[in-house]
Amino acid sequence: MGFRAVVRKTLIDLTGWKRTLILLVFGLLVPVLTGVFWRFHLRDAGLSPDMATYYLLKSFIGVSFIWTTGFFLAFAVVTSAAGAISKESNDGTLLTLVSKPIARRQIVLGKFTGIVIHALLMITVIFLIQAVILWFVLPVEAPTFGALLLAIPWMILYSLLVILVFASLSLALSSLIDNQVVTTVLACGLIFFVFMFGPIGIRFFAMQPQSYENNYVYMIDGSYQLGNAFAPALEQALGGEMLPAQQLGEIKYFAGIFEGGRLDEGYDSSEYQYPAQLANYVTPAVSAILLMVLVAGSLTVAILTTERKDVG
Amino acid sequence: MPSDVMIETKGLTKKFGKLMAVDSLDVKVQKGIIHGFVGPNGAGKTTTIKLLVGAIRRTSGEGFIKGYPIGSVDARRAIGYSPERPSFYKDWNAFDYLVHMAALSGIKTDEAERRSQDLLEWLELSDFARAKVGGFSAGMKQRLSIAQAMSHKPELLVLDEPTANLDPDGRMSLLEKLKSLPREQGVTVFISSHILSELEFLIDSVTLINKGRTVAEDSVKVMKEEISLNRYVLNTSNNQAVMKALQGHASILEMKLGNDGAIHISSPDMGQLQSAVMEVVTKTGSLLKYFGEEQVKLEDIYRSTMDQGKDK
Repeated sequence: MGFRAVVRKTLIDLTGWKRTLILLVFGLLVPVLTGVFWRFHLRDAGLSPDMATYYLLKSFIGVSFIWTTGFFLAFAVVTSAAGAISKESNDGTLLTLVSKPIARRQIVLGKFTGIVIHALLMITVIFLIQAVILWFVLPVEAPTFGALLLAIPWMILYSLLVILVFASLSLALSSLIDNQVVTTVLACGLIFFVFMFGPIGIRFFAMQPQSYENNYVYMIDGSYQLGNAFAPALEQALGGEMLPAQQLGEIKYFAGIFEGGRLDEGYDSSEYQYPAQLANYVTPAVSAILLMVLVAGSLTVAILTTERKDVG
Repeated sequence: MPSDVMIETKGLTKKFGKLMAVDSLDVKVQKGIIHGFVGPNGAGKTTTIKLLVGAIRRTSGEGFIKGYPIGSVDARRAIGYSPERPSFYKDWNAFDYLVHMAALSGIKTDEAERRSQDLLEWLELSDFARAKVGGFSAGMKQRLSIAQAMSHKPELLVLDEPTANLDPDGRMSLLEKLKSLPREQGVTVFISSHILSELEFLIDSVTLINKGRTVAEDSVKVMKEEISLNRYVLNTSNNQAVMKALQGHASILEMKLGNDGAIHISSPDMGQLQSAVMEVVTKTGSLLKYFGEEQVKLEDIYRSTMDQGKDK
């Protein structure tokens, strides 16, 4: 009961109409603007229906990876989780909370669960609204729109990975630092590190190609690990005939550039063959395990810190 | 630990860095009574209370609530705690807040709602059940804090300065309600307050602490008897003349004119003193207004005990 009460309270806090409206606007801003651009491009380019579908899916998945399940989702999760403990501590409400007969680990896990549920619901709603808006904005046929809808479950699965990682890290920071502003700034720095370390680092290491690999730099490259862990889901997508192989290649192309694995030089999407030609520093399973260890470790830090904290 | 003991601490100690906030504190509180916790500012009252409710961790020593170690979920299940400066979720209304607090303690929703309604009525807040807590006056917040403390029917109510923000009427009303708790609901009340005249009306036993240590602890009746033992008050129409005449009498250990205008006498022999008083009153032609044992107030116990502490 106590755990459920914490989850419920977290969900209520996160679903205030002002916050929800701001998140929806931000979440949909980039996809809608790009949708308008696609409309003109599709109209002017005079593509065949197949090519239009191909172009649209590629663009939709690309924007979803970079923005919706990338920066936007990470930012939304971080702003939710960064104040989860520190705000209660600052406001003085944590004192009453910890005096109740509920284990402190249940408080932490309840907040974590609430944040994850909220983020998943939010991202699902955003994807659906995004698809509907594109349906109205773009001159596409029903099968094209259907293919676009079928890509959404896999985006949501990838979102779960992003949510777990950033929610646990932010919660750990929130339990360690009582100042909510400092926690949020640090957590945002974390987003930058996770997503930009790869793109920036790979340029740096491109001058010395062996350094990235020989020094195991990819092990701390969050974008590589996230994208790499997502590879099995993409393969599942192929097995389920969600998308033709060529589209899968496009997904991996985006995953490779912005979210993970490095592509071999000379990659040409038109000649792409399954399996993807990702740089296999580690297997996707190892990446997934590493990320889950990171999540478990961060939650352990959050629980232990909260259990040992003197409140009030 | 005997079953009639609600709170017991043995050498309970809390250090904040080099500051010794609670120093080997020994407290024992019986079940079904109202126990006062009294001491000057900075004596360690609030720190002790936070140790008892599990908000902060002890440095050494031990403490038990109903036989359960302090801080454990079982101990906290027995406790309802209202802090000195209560904080709330300001955007929540009073009813929802109470239901949430009860749910945190494992109470099912329908029972939590019923209980919350009863508590709001009991504490004269039912007209504000749906009002946001952020708009409450300090006194209303204080009463709501007591309501949340009682939301899961605790066996022990720990109240830190519960009447601090209440007006005189509100104070009297609350004190009467609290006084009825042990008798009507079998609740033990552990109350910290600076207002000794209030506690006088309320408590059965008291712990006096200073500099983090127990200075005295017993039932108020016994403490009063100890202090009033061999102490008498004499009031006549001519106290100056009577005092002069009694000076040096064998039965008198100490004699002084009090702020109340009466003569305060310390004597080991009531019989001899009585004879001497009668003789002197007759001799001086004074009118006897009052002669009897000293009526000790809680404030006298406090002053006497703290003075002894200073002497040590």
